[in-house]
Amino acid sequence: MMNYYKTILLLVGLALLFVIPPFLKPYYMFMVNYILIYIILAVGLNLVMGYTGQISLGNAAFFGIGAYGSALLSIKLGIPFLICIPLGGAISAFFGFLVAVPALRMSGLYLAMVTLGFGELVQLIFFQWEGLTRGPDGIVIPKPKFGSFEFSNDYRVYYLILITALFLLIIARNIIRSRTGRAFLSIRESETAAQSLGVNLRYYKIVAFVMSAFFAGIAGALYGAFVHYISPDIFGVFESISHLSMVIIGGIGTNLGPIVGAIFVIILLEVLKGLRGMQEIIYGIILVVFMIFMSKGIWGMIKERYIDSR
Amino acid sequence: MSVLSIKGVTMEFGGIKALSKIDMDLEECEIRGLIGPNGAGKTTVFNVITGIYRPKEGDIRFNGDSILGKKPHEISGLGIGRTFQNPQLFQTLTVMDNVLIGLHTLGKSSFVSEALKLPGERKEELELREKASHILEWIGLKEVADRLGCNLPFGQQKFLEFGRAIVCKPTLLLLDEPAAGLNFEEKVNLDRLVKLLRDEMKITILLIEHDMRLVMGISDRVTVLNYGEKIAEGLPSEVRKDRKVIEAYLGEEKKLRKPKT
Amino acid sequence: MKTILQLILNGIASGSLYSLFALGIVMIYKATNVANFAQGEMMTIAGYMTLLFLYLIQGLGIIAFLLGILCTCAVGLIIERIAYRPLIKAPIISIVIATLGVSIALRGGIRMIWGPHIRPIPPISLFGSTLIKFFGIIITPHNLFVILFTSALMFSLLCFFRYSKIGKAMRAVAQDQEASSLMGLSVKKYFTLTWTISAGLGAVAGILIASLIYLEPDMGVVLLIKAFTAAILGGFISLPGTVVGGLILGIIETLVGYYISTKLVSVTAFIVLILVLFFKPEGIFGTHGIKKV
Repeated sequence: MMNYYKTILLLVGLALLFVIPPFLKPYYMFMVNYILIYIILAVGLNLVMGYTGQISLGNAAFFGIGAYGSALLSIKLGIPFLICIPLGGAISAFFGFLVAVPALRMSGLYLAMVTLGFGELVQLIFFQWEGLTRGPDGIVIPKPKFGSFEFSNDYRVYYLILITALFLLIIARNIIRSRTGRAFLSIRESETAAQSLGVNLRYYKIVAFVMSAFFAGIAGALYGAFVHYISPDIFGVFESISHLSMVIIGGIGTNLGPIVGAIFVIILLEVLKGLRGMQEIIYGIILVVFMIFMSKGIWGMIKERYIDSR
Repeated sequence: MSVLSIKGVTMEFGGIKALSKIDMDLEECEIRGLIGPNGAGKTTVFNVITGIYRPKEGDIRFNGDSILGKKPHEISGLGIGRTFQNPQLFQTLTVMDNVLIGLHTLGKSSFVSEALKLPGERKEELELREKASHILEWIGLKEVADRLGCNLPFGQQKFLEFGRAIVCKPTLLLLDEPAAGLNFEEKVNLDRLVKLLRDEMKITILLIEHDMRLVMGISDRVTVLNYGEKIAEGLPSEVRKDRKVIEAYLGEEKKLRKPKT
Repeated sequence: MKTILQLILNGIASGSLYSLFALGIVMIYKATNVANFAQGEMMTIAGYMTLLFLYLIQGLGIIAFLLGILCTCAVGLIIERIAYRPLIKAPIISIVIATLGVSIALRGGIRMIWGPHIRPIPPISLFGSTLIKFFGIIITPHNLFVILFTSALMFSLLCFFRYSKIGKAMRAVAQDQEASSLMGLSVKKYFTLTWTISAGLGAVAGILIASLIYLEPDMGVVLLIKAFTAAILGGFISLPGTVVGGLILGIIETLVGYYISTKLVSVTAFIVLILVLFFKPEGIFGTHGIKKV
């Protein structure tokens, strides 16, 4: 019975998503696009942090690699941008693999520091390798085309982003519900027991990490397609921490958590934008407060209270 | 050929010998009790078998092939299952999910077919769920299949861990104090299930236990450890009378009574 | 030969600052199992506060220096009480995020009060600016001061831990909270002390580093990573090891800067960090069993 209602709700929601753009003012359209991109990022990061239980403080690096990768492929090699999007994801996933193989031998604090260091390193490279990335000047990205159809405004780009996001969300959901997803969870819950049941810890940790890098890479490519300008200063520690906080505030390890978290954090940051330096202070305080009082996150707490206590 | 053959295994932790030249051979479909005072090294034996520790000396053979130096998940994959002294359940997962993870080594779908939910994967998932359901019924947890692991009473948690370890039909099962914390009824049930495992599923079992009545009643043979050394081995009736064993359990002599049949 | 010695000496100067900073991090980690990601900001705050006091006092740099340290310790204490105490039993990830949150908030505060721009800070030195020469090697008074001061500070710290009653109590609490409290030691009091000393160390390092380079709200992150690298080089458990780790890092950086390229100096710490973690995570001295899979 529940499933019947759920499906109806889902279909109605989907229909709304497709129909809504003409009714939104440009500012809101922009925000919706922005939120969708971060939903992709948060869902990806949740696979690593929420499901496998590993810390990653360098996610902005993969976001950036996807953005720069796709931008450079399209500008320097003339590859149509729509193909550059999955390519950007692939490049990011590749680097994710390179990092994961050695880094995931560690855990906890050490992993946090390695990923933090990696994030900083990548941003430094973006700044300093001017021959490739044009350094602090950044890169202007032309609007993507599909044949003769140009994604010339936020409304058109919306559909591109929406479809990509839905596709990735479905994949994430499929993985979570499959044997791999259970393996992830087993690692988070008890590595000892997981090993004793034949779960190859290292393999699955790497898979989760590479998947999240892939998601971040695609989000980066989409970001470039939609904002049309990328520069190194976006992809720093603050960005990585934002991704992290979306996962945590939303509800780590839950399915809807990262979605809720992404919406909450983006709106929060937007609301705080007016107040210059205060933005960081309030944001930082909110993080601390959440950790002390609401460590399960918004959706995590809702789920716990209403769904899990059977 | 023995199912498990441990030869000359020595295990040291920073100078302290936890195990000293241990030899043990398990025959097929045998139930072997592993007993000894606290700290004798029993759980260490388990950890060495499952690859969590690498022994300083010695060899371990499973069905004739050496498993020394293999990683724990590889060893599980070869058919060795295990439970733990304190149940290592996946607390925030349901009973069903716990058991499904027990079937991990039987899954063959590729990552891609999982991501795209291809028909092959769907079919396999259904088969796995069926097997899981079957085991849950066998151990009596079918009604609570959707409950979270942490919401189960202790006795059921132990049975869940038990079910999770046997669902993929291992050749060898290591049980670490399975009866600890169980009430009388549960212990009877455990006794019955373990014997069924041996008789119907043809699983060889090595169990660590402190409940003498249970372990003497259930084991075909018993091995006794003390301070990391094997001090006795044989039929329960022989071991019970062995002087060295009695001395090791000084003060616990009263517990070495004949089990009620 | 002389150039290398020169470089090494310079490396020791900056390295000893990394050591100081790293000591702060290691102390807290050993005592509370918390990695204080906001340690970098302790440094930044100290630098800015000293600048403020220098401006207000217009006289003895030393007093501004000391005031800066005291204020930073106070800030460290407040943060410990408000943000970290409630999280003593929380999982690592919560603590990491909380310290990151504190770090963001502090950076925001600094940016708000002092603006986002780079500010120079006059070198704190009592010896004037004449270069000192000995055995054909040149050293600036500032670097000499840094080396002497930090050595003295670290030495007294190590003596403190080994010989004084309070120091030993702190080590006891760090090793085993439960046993210590059963023995009558006030765990909370010693945590507070640990955090204060750590903030103080960060403050000293911060002021001295800032006087070498400049002040900027985001400098904490990079220095945090350098300090962490130093700590890991030293094995992350032993305090003397951490000191050596910092010195080694400082020397490597200076050598890289001279022989390869100055552009690479900032990247050096990251590369060293990554290399060490991949090839010898126990550091040069440690046998600490970090979790391996």
